[in-house]
Amino acid sequence: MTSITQHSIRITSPALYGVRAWSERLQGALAIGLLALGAWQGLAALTAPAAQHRLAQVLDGSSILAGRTAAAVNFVEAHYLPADGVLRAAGGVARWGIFRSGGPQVAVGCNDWLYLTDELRPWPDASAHMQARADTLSRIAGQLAARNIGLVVTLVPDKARIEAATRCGTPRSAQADARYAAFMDLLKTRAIPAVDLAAPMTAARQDGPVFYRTDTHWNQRGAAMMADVVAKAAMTAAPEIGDAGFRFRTDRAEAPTQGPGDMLRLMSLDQVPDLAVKLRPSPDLQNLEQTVQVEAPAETGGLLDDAPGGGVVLLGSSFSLNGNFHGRLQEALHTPVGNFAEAGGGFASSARTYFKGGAFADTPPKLVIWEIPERVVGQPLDAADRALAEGW
Amino acid sequence: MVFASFEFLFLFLPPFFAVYFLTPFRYRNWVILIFSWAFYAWWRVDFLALLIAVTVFTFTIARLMDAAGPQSPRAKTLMIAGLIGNLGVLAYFKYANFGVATFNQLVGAMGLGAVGWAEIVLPIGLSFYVLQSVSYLVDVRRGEVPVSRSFLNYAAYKAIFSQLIAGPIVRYAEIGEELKQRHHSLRQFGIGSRTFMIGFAMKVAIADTLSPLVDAAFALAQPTLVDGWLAAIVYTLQLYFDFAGYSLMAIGLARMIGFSFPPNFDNPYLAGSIQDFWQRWHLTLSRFLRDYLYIPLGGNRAGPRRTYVNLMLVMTIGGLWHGSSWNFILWGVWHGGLLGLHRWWSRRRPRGAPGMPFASGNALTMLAVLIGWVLFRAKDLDGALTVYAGMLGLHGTGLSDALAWQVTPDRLWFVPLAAALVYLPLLPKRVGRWAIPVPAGGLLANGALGIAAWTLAPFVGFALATVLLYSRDAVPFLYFQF
Repeated sequence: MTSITQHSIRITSPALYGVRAWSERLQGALAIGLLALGAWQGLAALTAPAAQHRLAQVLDGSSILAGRTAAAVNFVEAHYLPADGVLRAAGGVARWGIFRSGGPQVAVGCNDWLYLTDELRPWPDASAHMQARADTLSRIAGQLAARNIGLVVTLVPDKARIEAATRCGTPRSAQADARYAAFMDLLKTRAIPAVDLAAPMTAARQDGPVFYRTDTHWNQRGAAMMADVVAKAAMTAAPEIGDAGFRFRTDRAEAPTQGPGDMLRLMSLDQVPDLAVKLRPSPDLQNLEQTVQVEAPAETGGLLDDAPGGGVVLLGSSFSLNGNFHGRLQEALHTPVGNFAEAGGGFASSARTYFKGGAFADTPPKLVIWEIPERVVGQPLDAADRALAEGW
Repeated sequence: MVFASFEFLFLFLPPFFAVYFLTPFRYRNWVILIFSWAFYAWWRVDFLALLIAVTVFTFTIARLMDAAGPQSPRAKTLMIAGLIGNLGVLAYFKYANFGVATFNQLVGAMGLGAVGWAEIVLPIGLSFYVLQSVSYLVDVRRGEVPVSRSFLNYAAYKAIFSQLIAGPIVRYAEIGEELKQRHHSLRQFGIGSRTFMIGFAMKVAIADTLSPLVDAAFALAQPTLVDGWLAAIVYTLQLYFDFAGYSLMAIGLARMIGFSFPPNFDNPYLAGSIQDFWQRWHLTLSRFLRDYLYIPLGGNRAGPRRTYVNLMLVMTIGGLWHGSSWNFILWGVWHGGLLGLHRWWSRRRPRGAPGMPFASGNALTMLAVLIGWVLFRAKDLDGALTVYAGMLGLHGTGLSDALAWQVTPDRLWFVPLAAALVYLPLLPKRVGRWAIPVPAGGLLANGALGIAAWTLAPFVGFALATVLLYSRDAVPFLYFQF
């Protein structure tokens, strides 16, 4: 029997035996070549500046005994090979090209639509995590109100919720489906002013995509429409910000360029070329928008009067840094908005940084707009979440 | 250091082979020993001292036995001392935690205070190299192997990095001559590298791809019918491709430097009975249990009742060898019971009566094996019962949300692919009424394309596995924990 584990093929013909012998010698020679290639890669990784820096910290007796040196070498070999980009890209191409898989973090829909698995999966103890975050928001809303500062929470719905039609069978958990309404209910019961973006985004989706295909964030169209919705809610919550007399204009580049494509990066496909043979989902194309201030009010009042504008602060995640949301929000509010959002900031990171910082202490705003991605609210609390829950 | 890591592939193997082949033959065992000890120390330097101590101890005992005359009463006493020393080390590092925990549970149940105990870390590979020591001492005593007069050769035998941490359990008798003289050639190197690359692909591309699915399924608090069976089936495939892949890597690496290690697997999932399964799964452990436990206990020569007791005892001890928990003990009991049942049934069948058709026998065997693997994989007894409850449909039927998102296309594809590879060796055979013609010599006999495919296929599998390994976190070998 031919065995896949022992690879013993019974050869009776002398000619075949000879062929096999030559084939095995060739395999030996190829293996030697591979070993030489590997040695070059491994040694080159060790000499990379970043690797040298990392290794320099663990080249002592105690680190060797504790296994820290081995761990550092392991890390270096897994991250600093000269062929790093090629290997990662090849892994991504293999997964997507052969299996139409996006890897552990990305789910693949149809027509090149990609989704974060974080938006699809259920999270353990999600209900408790959502309650803890709602409690944090409630406490901060109270503290802000005590200082006459308004708060508007904007919960950005998942791409997997709004762009559900192109998921094409990619399953989404019941917990994730119920998450948006559940968290909005928690905010409502705590009387926290919150903007429901799910309904207007769903409506906007009827006329075209509001998210990028290959990125987790809203696209420029979606960001502009939601900026209008948020601006209306902000002016209702804090009428005193009014029309400060600023005017903004949004320009569009004439030539289309590729969109951000963070999920292509998560799939290790961001550096893969677009050839006749398709090696990755087609990147988004967009005419990049940029909002600029074109008019400012004349200086009024005395030296000690409040300067116009500057009373609105935007906290949040990468949604506030993508799709020109910040620019469109300024345009809709007719006032400059201080953007303190952080890429990867999740629920609490930017808020914690801002509330602890000098900007908040020295020039407190009139209104805080706090953008929160739906996908983070049920996740386990991270260090920033716990720290913010304890106070800023 | 693990085989499926870039420090092993890029920083360890190239200098090892370079130094090994540039060194005159009489010094090559030194190269093996030094590199193998470095390989072992990479994980924990302090446990290298234990390996060296066990090596020196066993070598010395064997020399003393030889000096006393292997068949002499003094040699017997020395052998017993050697076995107690080796098994004592294993008992301390592997079973002390379990023993104290069980004792504390008992005294706790009686309302007494628990014994304080600091958790002991199990040195990697200890279970394997202690069994090597046992087989060596017993073989010397039985006169089946001449004692090694060279400490270097004996230490190199124990330390050869390819088998040091998870087998195969190579006996000294099998490579004793090769330690003195062995053949090297480009062809040998090619055969070894081919074997290594196939094992690497089995482990990294297949087993590691399935790993997250298994972890997620076994972590479910209330698995459904689909979840439970998915957990059991996918783990059954993962374990085979992980361990058989590892074994092939070990065998291939040894072949590259001129050693012929015994095979460790022979298509175990093609077994037609549970007895057949144990003649195909982890062969070097099975024959160890047979030669050093089952036969000394009397085997099947002391009457039917004693045979059943021996079977149960050997499999229970085999289970316990895998790990110090009730799961492993019950897994051994399960297989001991199955082997006994199979023996009883076989004895009842009239002589000459047709056996069970292969398909039915294989299906029944795999069902029994799969049920056993749940015990083997689950974190504890409660975990196993949870999966069994799922398999019985006690928590609903459909795929649960908590698992559905883990069923990514690549993982899903690898399940039937792995299953197809398991049954691939049946192709040249007549399966049922259909005969699938495959020429003798397989791919090699299919002209230039066939030769090219046979030559390059391991490299393609290795390349795919390498890029997959680089773009995800390494998954440890499952048998390292034993």
